Amino acid sequence: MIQFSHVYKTYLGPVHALRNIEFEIDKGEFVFLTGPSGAGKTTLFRMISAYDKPSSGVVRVSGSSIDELNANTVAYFRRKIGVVFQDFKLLKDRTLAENVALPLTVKGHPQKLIDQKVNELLDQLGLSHRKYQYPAQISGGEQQRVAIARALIHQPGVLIADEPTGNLDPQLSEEIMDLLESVNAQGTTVFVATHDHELVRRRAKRVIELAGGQIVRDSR
Amino acid sequence: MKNLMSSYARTWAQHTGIQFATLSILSATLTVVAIVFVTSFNVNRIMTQWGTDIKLTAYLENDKDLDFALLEKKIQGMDSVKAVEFVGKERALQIFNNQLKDITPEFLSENLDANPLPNSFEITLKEQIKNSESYEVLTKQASLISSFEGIEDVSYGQSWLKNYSAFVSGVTTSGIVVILILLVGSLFIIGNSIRSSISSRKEEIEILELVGATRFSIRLPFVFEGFVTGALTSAIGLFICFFLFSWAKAIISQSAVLARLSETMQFFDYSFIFLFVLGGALIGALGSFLTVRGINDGWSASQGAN
Repeated sequence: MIQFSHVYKTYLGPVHALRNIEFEIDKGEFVFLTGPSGAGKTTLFRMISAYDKPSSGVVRVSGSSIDELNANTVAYFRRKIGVVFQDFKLLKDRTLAENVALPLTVKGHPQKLIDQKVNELLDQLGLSHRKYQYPAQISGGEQQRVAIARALIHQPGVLIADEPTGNLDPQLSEEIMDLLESVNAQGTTVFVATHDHELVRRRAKRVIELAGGQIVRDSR
Repeated sequence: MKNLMSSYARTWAQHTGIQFATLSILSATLTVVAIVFVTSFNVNRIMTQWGTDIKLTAYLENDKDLDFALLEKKIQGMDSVKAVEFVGKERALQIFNNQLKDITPEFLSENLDANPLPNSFEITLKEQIKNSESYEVLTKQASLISSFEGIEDVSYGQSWLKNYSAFVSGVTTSGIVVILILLVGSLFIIGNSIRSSISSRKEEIEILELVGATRFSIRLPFVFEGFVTGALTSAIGLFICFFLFSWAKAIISQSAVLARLSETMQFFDYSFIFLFVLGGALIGALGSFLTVRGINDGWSASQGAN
């Protein structure tokens, strides 16, 4: 589902953000990506979500080679994945329902179908009573759940989450991780970047650890 | 359409100041464009009407025994001639006296005991004088007629007509230049407004990219915004221009010298108004398109980060 093959990423400077990264994540796996700040976790995730291209090597996600995407095809690639960020990235001037609906809206689905799917998902996440509220009116944990709902509504094969619990307290972090595990249980491949070792230890999942832009451990 | 309208409403809500400033500047610019159009249109209209009255007068040699009917037939046979009227010297004197009697009656009664005026033909051409090209046609016809046997001279207000055709061409040309300059300026004004709109919605664009919005769907609301702004401001411009035109017409109609002009003055018809608003809308859309073309390419978030 996700494949990195001899991937290097060098920024101007030169700064070697990633060096010879090589790993594979199968369909339906739940994998943690850990490492200290500056280890290259975000760079790696930016490549998976096609926000960046490798300097060399091959990154393949859901059958697409990131290097071969262009301005026209990148949008269609992103419809196959779901992405969650630490800072939620919700549109402040849209209601929660509108935020969750975005991936279906941009695909041009009929409004009736969108409403039905949004209601179902918000119900599952216990947020249906807040659907007409705005992001600023709800807590950080609820905002992250809305972001996850948005990442899942189009039923992507892969969900990547970059520090999804970074802004949340321990109890909310556990709730979010439970939610991600239940998403994984339904067949979605989940790849989570975090520097919270305690949280990773409790979940007993495969762990890929980065340090200085290189993989130093893969618990597979 | 609902999404486009709500996107435009959001822009207004987020940037009321910038939107209002853009609307004001563009409305003022398009008012000037409309004024240039209406002025040029009416100058042409008035001038063309004057041009319709232009006639050639061919004066005949006095001391020759001429076959007037044959000469008239010859002139009438020319392609560009619409009508020929013979004016005998007695009638010419009568017209002359009628024209001068109110101005200098003593001059007529005291000095005119003999008729010095020649026989003549008054010739109306098929083409009215509109520009320097038709002026050249006119001079060519005059020169041809003057070469006929028995024609002493051909008069058509040469110097006045030359200035007239140059004036009509000048008004048209400078109108086009001014309009082009203002329209290019409008493109920049709309482009800047859209640029500020894009800059403040950068995060929204990144999120839309993240969820798989295509370049077209991200750019469309901005192009629509330019389209609506262009249509609105050109409509406002026409509205202001109409009031200024009506005001000017009322003032001109009160003037003893220019009153006749006001009867000829006319505002745009509905089809031109539609075309003007459509043109404004298309210029707005073009200004936006040229701006958004270089901004969002599906990778804006990565460019921002690097």
